[in-house]
Amino acid sequence: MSEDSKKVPFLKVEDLKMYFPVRKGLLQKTVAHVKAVDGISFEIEEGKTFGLVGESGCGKTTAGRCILRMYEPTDGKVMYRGRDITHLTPAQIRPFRHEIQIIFQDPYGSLDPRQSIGSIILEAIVASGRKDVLPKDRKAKVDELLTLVGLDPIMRSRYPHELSGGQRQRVGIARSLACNPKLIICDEPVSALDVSIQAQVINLFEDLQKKLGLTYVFIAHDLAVVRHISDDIGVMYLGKLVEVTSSEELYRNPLHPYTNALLSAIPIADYEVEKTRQRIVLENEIPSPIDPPKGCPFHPRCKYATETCKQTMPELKPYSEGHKVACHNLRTILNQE
Amino acid sequence: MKNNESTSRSKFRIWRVFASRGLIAKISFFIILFFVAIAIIAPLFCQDPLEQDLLARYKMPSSEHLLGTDSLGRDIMSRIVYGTRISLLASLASGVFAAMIGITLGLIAGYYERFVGAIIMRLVDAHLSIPPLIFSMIVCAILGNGIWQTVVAIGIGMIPTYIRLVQGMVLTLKGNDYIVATSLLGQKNAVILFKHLLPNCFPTIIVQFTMNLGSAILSEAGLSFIGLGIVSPDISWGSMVAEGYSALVKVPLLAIMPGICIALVVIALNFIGDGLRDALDPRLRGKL
Repeated sequence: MSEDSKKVPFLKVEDLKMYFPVRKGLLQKTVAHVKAVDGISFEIEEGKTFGLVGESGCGKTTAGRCILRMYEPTDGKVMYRGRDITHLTPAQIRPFRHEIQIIFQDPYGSLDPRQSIGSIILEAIVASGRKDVLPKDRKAKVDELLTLVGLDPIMRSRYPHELSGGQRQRVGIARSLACNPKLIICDEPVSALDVSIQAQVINLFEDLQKKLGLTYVFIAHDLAVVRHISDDIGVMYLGKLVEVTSSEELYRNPLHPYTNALLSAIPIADYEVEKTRQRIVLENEIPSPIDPPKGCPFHPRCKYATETCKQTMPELKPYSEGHKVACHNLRTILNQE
Repeated sequence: MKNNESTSRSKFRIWRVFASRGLIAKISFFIILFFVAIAIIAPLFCQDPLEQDLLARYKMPSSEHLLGTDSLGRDIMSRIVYGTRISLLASLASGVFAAMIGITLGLIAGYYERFVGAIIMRLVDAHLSIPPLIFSMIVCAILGNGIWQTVVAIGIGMIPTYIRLVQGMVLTLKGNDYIVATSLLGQKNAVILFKHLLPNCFPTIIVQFTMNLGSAILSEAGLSFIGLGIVSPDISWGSMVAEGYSALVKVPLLAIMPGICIALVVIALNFIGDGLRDALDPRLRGKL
């Protein structure tokens, strides 16, 4: 395994599809499918962060939950350390259930209001069944974890409603860490926090990655946040990845018209520069994932759209080393610029 | 600030909010306390409720018999006090019986909503289509007379309400991130059900339980009145009303006094239920 591990990516998602049936009528007949995730592929190396961005409803959370195996994907593959976990039964997942964890967006809903902080973390240690923490060391481990996420061990006797949003999110992180995970799906972990707290929590994520060698799938709709933490970024639109590249490359050289529009929405702190900032305002709403447009899903809102875009879905093709884009009209777009 | 429902752990706070519901809630509380107390200390001050004195039948109230005597010359006062024991015990036992089965089934029905849950809920629907009292009568007729048979008969009639209530709450609660997170930690389903979902249902269940105690007393009285349920020599308020009913003109107190007791306890329990509902409702926190 150790020799192969260099070749085998830590996490590999291949053509992942997740369709939710829409049922109607007395017999609950399936009348349509919500194509929440419609064929996405990416890879993550161990210890790296993959950012997944896109607007609400583009399927980024669903993609995360498929990797967690909260859902069984309709099609495609999720390979975790070279092992296909796509269709494992709950009993088969159990041995490494604790290796893949999630951090939720809502710090209020993710902690049981009737449990003290200490008991939440203790439960995670016990439930994950880790052998390296002996029963007598569990209490000490709770304190260690609280310290690790920047909370005072005194907090262990507090209840969630006595904590601020940022503190709760730290407890959520400590709970995930309690079961010694290798991969953490961060599902918009900072979106519900104040901007000042956001920075602290993001820094905490980075520290923990350095200390513990964690791998993150970082889901967010805020590009500035994702840019800061990610090594690679995938831009999702309506269940599909439209652009995948390193975070630097994405900001230096965004290619897909949708990425450009997203990037143009980031405000700039400098007032003078901000005044001259050209915003690309997308028209229309995001189409329904029940009945996505034929061809490129972005074509109804894209100013470069041609007849080809309406007919065929562009594939995610390499544009340069490590930079993939799904667009028919790259040449036109690049020439215009 | 949704999900802010956890509690400051002081029991006094709940009492304060409860008491602030007004005088009625407080009085109700003490009425129940009074009945529980006399039920416990009954042997200390009562005559034997079964002791007959055929020469002193249908006596009006006197210093010897505070509420008079019945058709066999037994002391009505003692019989009411001993009836309190059995009536309260039967309602409490049937409430606990119904709650334990109903809550467990409700948790399961809500958590495994697909298959097991669907079966349980259809059975509940079938059960609810029969009026509870009729259902209890049928069970009573099958099991026969006696305290524990009555407890089971009344309890079975109340199970569906608990299943409905708990199933509905579990359906909403289990979508919460903390339940999802716990199951992703690899926690066992049984632990999630009883350690996370159940405690979060408790405030509502307690209210339902209190209210049900009242209706259990009514059902027991009803069953005993029509001759099912608790029969002589066991004494219950319902069977006393039935006995006194035939002599309503001669000794009105024989039927009226247990009737008043039933009414008092049932009404008091309902007010306590209302008060508890407000006291435990997180949305009313701080306003009261």
